[in-house]
Amino acid sequence: MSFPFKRGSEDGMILVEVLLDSHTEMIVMLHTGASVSTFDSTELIVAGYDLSQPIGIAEVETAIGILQVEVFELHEFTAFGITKHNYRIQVYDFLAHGILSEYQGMLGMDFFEGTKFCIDTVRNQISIEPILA
Amino acid sequence: MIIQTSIAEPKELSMAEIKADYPGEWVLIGNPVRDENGVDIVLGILIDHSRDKRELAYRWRGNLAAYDKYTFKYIREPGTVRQYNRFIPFVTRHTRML
Repeated sequence: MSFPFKRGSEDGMILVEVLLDSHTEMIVMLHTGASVSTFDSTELIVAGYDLSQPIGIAEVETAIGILQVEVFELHEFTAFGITKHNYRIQVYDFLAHGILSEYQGMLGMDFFEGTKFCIDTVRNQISIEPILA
Repeated sequence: MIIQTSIAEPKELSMAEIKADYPGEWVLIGNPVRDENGVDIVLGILIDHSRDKRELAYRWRGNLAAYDKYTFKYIREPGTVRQYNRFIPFVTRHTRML
């Protein structure tokens, strides 16, 4: 299956639409350099998650050093036609840190475990298929 | 439950109309229709707007059943450049479960 993406007009980032719990749409950056997906905490608030109840704390290496983020488990998460249940993500408060970006998170490599995917920068499409063990 | 909002009645608007009316604000859009790149919103139902995204999130949390899907969008003020996002995560070094 192939899915379209947008290149950021100013920086060429790959932006894609993802879906949290069937209703909350987010635009996220596809980040092949990130090991785990990370999203803005405000998106979880409107989706009904209790930010005071993370299941873990993680230390993440970022462009500005090591930061601490909280870990949550999403009931349902969909990207590229693939739906994952109990998908474990990292959460960071974008607003508290003055981040007003056009995307609400980063889709990391953990999402692509067990798949073969190809980024077509000519057609701006991602093709993805599960690899059967 | 009645939500206190600055929108008299949610209505479907083009993204161009929303951008013209709410520069520098966050908008909450119901049932967004996106263009062929799957990202840019072409039109949608303007549910609410605020300069404070978190305020919108708490105001509408659990009260969006009227919409199949919804999303936030920041309307950048004309002439301003996109902020550099310094939070770019790379490797997760250590996770401690609570």
